[in-house]
Formats: sequence, C-alpha cells, structure tokens
Amino acid sequence: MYPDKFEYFAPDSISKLEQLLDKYKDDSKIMAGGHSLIPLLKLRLTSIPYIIDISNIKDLNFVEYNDNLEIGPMTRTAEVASNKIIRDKCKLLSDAASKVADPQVRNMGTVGGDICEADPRNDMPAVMLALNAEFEVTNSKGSRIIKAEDFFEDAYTTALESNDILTKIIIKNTENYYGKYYKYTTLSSDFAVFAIAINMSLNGDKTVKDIGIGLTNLNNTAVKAKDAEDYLKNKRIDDKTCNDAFNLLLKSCDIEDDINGKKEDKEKILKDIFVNGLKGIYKVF
Amino acid sequence: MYLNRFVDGEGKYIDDIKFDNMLYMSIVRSPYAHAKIKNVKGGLNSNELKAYYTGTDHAMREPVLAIDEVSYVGQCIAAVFSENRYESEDLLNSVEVDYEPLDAVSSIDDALKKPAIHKGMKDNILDVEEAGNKFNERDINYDLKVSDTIFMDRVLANPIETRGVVAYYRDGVLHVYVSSQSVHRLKGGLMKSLNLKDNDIIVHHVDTGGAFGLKALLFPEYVIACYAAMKYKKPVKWIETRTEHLQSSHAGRGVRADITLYARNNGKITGLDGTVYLDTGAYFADADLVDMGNVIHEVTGPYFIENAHLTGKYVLTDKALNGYYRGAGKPEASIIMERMIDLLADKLKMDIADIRLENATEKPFKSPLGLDMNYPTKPFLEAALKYFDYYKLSKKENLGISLGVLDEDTAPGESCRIIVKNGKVKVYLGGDVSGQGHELFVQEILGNEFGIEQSLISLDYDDTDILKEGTGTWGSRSGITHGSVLMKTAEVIKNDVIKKFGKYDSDLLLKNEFNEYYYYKIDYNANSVNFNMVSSDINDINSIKIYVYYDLGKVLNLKNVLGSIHGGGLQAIGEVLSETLRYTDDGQLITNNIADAGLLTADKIPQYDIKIVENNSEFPDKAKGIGESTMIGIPSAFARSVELQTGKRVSKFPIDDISLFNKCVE
Repeated sequence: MYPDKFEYFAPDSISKLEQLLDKYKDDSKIMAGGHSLIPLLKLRLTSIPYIIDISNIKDLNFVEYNDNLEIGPMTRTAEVASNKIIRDKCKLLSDAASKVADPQVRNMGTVGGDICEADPRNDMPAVMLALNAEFEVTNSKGSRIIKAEDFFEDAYTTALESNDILTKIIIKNTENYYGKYYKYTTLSSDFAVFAIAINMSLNGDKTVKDIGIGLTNLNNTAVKAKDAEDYLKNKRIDDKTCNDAFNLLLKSCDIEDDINGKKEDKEKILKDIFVNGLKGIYKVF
Repeated sequence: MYLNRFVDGEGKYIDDIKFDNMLYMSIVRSPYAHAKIKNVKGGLNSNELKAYYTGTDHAMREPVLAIDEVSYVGQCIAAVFSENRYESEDLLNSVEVDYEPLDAVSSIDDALKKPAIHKGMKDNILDVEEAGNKFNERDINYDLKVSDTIFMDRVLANPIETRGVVAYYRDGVLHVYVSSQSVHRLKGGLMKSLNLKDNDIIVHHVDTGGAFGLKALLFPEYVIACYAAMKYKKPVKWIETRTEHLQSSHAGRGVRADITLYARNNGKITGLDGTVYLDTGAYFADADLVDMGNVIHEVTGPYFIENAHLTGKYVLTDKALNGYYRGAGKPEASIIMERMIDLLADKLKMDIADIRLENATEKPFKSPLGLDMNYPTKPFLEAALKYFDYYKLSKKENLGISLGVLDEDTAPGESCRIIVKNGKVKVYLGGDVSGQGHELFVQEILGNEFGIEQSLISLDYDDTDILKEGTGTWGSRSGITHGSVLMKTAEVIKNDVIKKFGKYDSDLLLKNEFNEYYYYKIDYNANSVNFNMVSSDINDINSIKIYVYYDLGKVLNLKNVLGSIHGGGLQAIGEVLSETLRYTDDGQLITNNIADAGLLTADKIPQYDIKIVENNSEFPDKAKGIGESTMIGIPSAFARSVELQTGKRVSKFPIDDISLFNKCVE
C-alpha cells in the first residue's frame, strides 16, 4: 500500500483522543479496525493528514449487560459474533456479526467502525436500525445520545461532528426478542447485494408486539422500513401480512439496476428473503 | 520438498529482487477513455521517449508513452522515479497533463455504430481476415438453418502476482528481471523497442506467480523501465498495483460471433458461416492475430463441416488492449461451436450427444477453415459417452456436454540446458514456468532417465544467456515440448557419460561434470480430442460436478495434471458465471477492485470425475497437452446445464444472472 503521507496517533484514553480531535478537526480521522479506511488510503481515494488509531483505548472495548445491552465501539466484529452475553441477549446482532465479510476482516473490524463508516453496504447500520439502538456520542464538551434512526444521513455520512466519538452502543430491545440477519451476496464478493435485519417480539396471542426492520444497501444509506414495521404490529405473520408488509417495505427502498443485476430480479429475490425471513423468525416463538 | 519454498516464503518473485540505489517507477495514467493531450509537463514522457513495443509494425500500434492522445483509461502518459516507492507515488502529482476529453466507445456493438476513434480511419474496424471458402447457401445441401450471436465478454488474467520488472544496466549490458512465460520473447521485443543488439541485453526469469497467457507479452512499462535504467544508470523497478492491472493489463476474450449453421434433418451440419468480432481495445496488439486466428480457424473443432467460411473483424474500442487469456481463441472457438450445436439439437429435438456423434469423424481430417485434426473424433466421443454412461446419467442430472479439440502450440520447439555438478542436476528450460509446477515433471522425467533421486534435480531460473534460444510456456505445449527436450538433452548427457566411461550409471553421472544444451525442433502444432460434461443445481454453487475424459498421451506427472484440471475447472466456472471487466458506456472501468472482478475462490472448486486416457503421442515423451482443455471444454457444457434448468438459452458469457447460484447467507 502506498498512501499519501499521514501522521499517526494512538492515544490510550478518551480524553487524549478528545484533545487530538479538537486540535486537528476535519484534517483528522478516527481509525478503529481500519478495514474500510486503510483500503481508501491505500488506493489514494482519500488523503487524511492525521490518523488517530483508537485501538489502545480500553474504555472503548467492552460488552456489558445492566438492564440494557451496552457495547463499546472498539469491540471487534469477531468478538461481537461470539460473545456470550450478546448471543444470549441479542440474537440478531451476533447473527449479523457472524456474517460480516470473512474471518480476517471480522478479527480486525469493529462494530463501531462498521457503524461510523456508514458505507451503505456495511452490515451493522441496518442491524442497529432494526434494534432501535441508541448511540452515546462524546466530545470534549460532554456526551449526548443519538438514536440510530437519526444517525445515518447518507452514504458515508452520519450525524457525527468532526470532534465526536462514538463511545457506547445501547440496545434496549433485548428481552423476549428474536431476530436474524438475512444477507444476499454474490459468488465473488462478501459485500451484501442487499440484506434485511429483522428483530421481533410477540404478544401472548401470537400477534407481533414489536418489530424492527433494517435494510442494507437498498438505499443511499441503511434505512429503517418504518411503514412495514408499523403495519405488522399487532398482526399475525401470514401470507397476506407478509405480502402487504413487503409492498410497504419497498417504499423504504431505492433499488436500481447495477452490476449485481436488474431491479426486477433483485426485488423478486428480496421478496423471497423477506417473506421467508419473517415466517422463519415467527416460527421460533 | 523443493516446491515448499513457495509455501515457506522463500520464493524469489520479481518484487523480491532488490539492488542498491534502486529506483521505483510509478506511471501517470490516463483517467479518460479518450482524450486529446494538449500538453504534458514533467516526468519521463513521449517528448523524450517515443517507442513502440509490438512485434508487428502496425500503423495503429500503441506508443509506450502516449503521444498527443490517450485512448483508454490507464494508458501510460509519463513515468516518475524515486528511491522510495511512496515518494514515487507522490511524484505522480507533479506531472501536469492538460486533457481535452473526447467521445469514447466501450463495446464492439458501439464501435460498429460510432465514428472512428483514431484519426485517419474511416471506422473502427482495424483489420478484416477471412478463413475458409465463401459459399452460397443455394449451393449447399441443407434442410434448416439456425443462427445466433454468441458473446464472450472480456476476462483478465488476474494472477496472484501482478506484472513486474526490474531493469539494471551494468557493465554495458542491460539485465532485465521479469515475471514472465518467456524471457526469450521479451528479449526480442525489448531489442526491437529500444534498438538494442543481441549482446546488449540479458533477460532473466524469476519465480512467476501466475501468468495465464498475459505474461507471454511485452508491455509499455517494461520498455520504459529499461530505458530509464539505461538513462539513469540505476536499477529501476516497476511493480504493478492491482488497480493498474485491472485498468491496463491486456485482457482476453471480448469476442462476438454471429453464426449460422446449415444442417440436414438428421443433424448433419453441412455449412457454417458468419462473422467474428474481436474487441482489440484501443490499439493493435500482437495477441490480436493469435486470438482471432485461433477462433476463426478452429471453430468447427472436432466436426467435419464441408462448407465453412468466417470473416474475422478486429474492432477498436477505447479500452486496454487485447491480450492472451488461457486458451487465447481456442475456448472462444469451442464455445461458439458447442453453443451452436446445442441450439441445432434443440431445434431438431435431438439429443445433444447424438447430434455430436452425427458430426464427429471416423478419420483424421482437415477442416475447410484450416484445422488439421490428427485423430478421429467419433470413436473418442463414443468411448467417453460409454465410460460415463451418458444416456443414463443425462436422464438423472442436468447435463451439458462438449467435445473439443486441443490444438497444442508445439511449434517451433523448445530449448534445454542440463548442468551436472557437485552431485546435483540443474535444469534450464526455454519455456518459463509461471506457477504450474513444471518442477514436478522435470524431476519425475529426469529421475527416471538418469536413475537418480528426484531431490537431486532442480529446475533453475534461466536467462537469455544460459539459453541462447527458447520459446515459452503457453498453448498447452509444455508437457510435450519441455518434456521432450528434457528427454533429448538427458539422452545427450547419458551419451557423454558413455563416451567418457564406456558405460552409463548414475554414480558416474553424479560424480562428474556435464553441461549440455539442446534445442528440440517441432515444425507443426499437434492436437488431441477431449470430452467434458457438467451437471449442476443452479441453487447451489457446490453442486457443480465436472466430468472430464481427456486423452493426455503419457501422463508425465499426475499432480501436474490434476492441478491443471482442478484450477482450470474453477476458472472456467468463474468465466461462465461472474468473471469479467465491466465498463461504462464512456469507457470508464467499473471493475476497479479485485472483489468486483468476479473471481471465484477455492471454496467453490467443483466436484470432479476425471478419466484420463493415455494414447501415446508421437513425441519423445509421448505426452499430449492439458493446460487449456478445461477452458475449452467446460464453459459450454456448464452453460448447457444451466439453460436446462432456467429454460433461458445461454449465449452470453458471463451469464450475469443474480439469481443463479447466489444465495442468502445462512
């Protein structure tokens, strides 16, 4: 790799990181696992004078459960996939993490990097939308909470300011939920052609109590299929509701012909995956 | 084992070659598919170096550095140098190029409709060639005709090791180290490009990490690096990045064929005609002639068709140049014929094996297009069908088949030197190994010939000094040419031992010193017949099963053979399903990283049922070819297997259907 010259920092605390970000602002970029950033630098698609590696900051690497599931952004994707707490409390997240790229990428890539990079093909944004996750964001002036649905603004664009740090991922919808990540890839690439994250809980009468649906690579950025979610609440999952929900889900998508295939072919496959996915999850309860 | 050096990280690839004070070269490349260069300032550019690199002095050949105009994304415009590779990349920004973008064409179809991309030409047809005898359909005997267009998009070599060169001018001699299939061919090309004499240059082979035809060729960057090495009196290294590879390396296939078959109702084909278009890219390249020649002369393959005529049209587009890709026209020829014969079978409601039997031959023959088929093809096909119990199997599986000819590029022969010293046997071959494992058959043949331990024998890096002549490694020739010249050279050495000591034994060989050079001449191309079948379930990539029935003559080394089939099978599957280079209509490359290039990984290697028949060839080592057979035979058979399931005829490669074999990750 032959990137442009850059200066490299590896602070070991959040306060040192804050100082660096305040100093270098837009000329700096946080590097977590580096598996999106390094290729961009290597191909000289981007040039960043100050790279700040956060892998030495222990306070950003944790998985805890205290009423809510709380995850540090530096948690490696492989750890997210195999962590026992996450597996117990959030099936959707561990399932999706296990489907990110390949073992080498999972070993280096992080959940926070996946979220903040906001590549429309990244897997974690849609998962976070399906989980109605909240993000604790910190800078030298203090912390605030941003909901996942307010976080992803466009391709590679989030609600983060240049001096903001994602410090915690908070997932509240854990008890009695079950979910899965349905990812469609081509033969030669691990990136999703598209994917659907579904997180569901049921009422006593077998109707849907709550459901979150996040979509990967079906629009400029990860999106939440809100109309489909609202429609399915308090309904049973059957052929008709699946069909109606899919038509509503399409409203959240902007599918185009591209190198992966034609719009109509993709919609057909998407429908199969969505309907089978909903029914599959429903059956588990 | 001695090939373990690759696994142990002890291979000596081109980027492992390092000299003191070495300069790294980086290349300023065109971001436009077509543009006028109004001005270029900085770096080594065509104001200083005006040179060409083709063997043929074609009017439309490419200068090594663009002169006044660029015609594809990635074309070389200027070179910059630094002792630090990072700095040489930084220096790219110091070169100022003033472009005036022009309209571009990026496909054969577009090129046929749009104005000429080069000044002085009336259209985008670079050349036209004819094969066979023109005939009028009124004059031939037929009941029906079928026509179709078969299109094979571009495929790029994408070896694990990209292209690379180190040029070092010392003591009045230009030493060139290169990742290559033929140091001799590169030497000839460089002498012509830079006006060097035979004694001015030595080209050295180094470990080569995959080539697939690409590395048989000379490229602009090699000429520029050599010029710079002589100019700066310093070693110059250029290593291609993957991005450069995708943009600029010469790609294969890129063939459209509009074909009509004329046939009797019993399936007998009586005529074939049509036009074959080759996407040459932006300029003439030497590979064009070979690729087109192989297609138009070999289309009728194993079948005797009394009337055959093809027009070959070389079509210019604003893309990187055309090159060799595993098979170089032979797979195209077979894919065209086999897809057409399946179409005819469907039209006649005939079994796809029966129609092939109807057209295969009882005797050797010469086709009207010029192919000398040395063996009868019908008995071979019958034996293959029987071996796999085809008629029973085809009722159970979605089975496609193909019968193919492998025309082996055995001419003009090959060179070898064997040096015995200090109890070791060192071998130098004129055809340069590029990752196929020729080391294995070299050891096996000489181990037997000399009656010594294989571990005492090694295939060493050759150069154009230790071997004055040499050909190369391509065209499924190595088993025949390299194997035969090895046996011939071994014979000379054994005779040396006998001359000196009155008898031969291995102790006398190893305890003394011998050094012999031999050139084994072959003045024609041999060929052989092969049969392939493929079955699949389009919902599961791991369901693909390949049946091959290959006549390999004498097998020199089974591992070599199986490796060639296993790898080639996957390569063929990739070419059918996903592997290609994609461009926008205005010639920008969309496939800008290897993940998008559609290469399949080892977890998708199909299942195999391999039957090797050993009918000895006429050569000293009794071998026949293998390298290109999978690429020739598997694509159409696999396409057939797919179309049986989808009901949609496959006439375009890659098929590019998102619903085929892809799946939702569970």
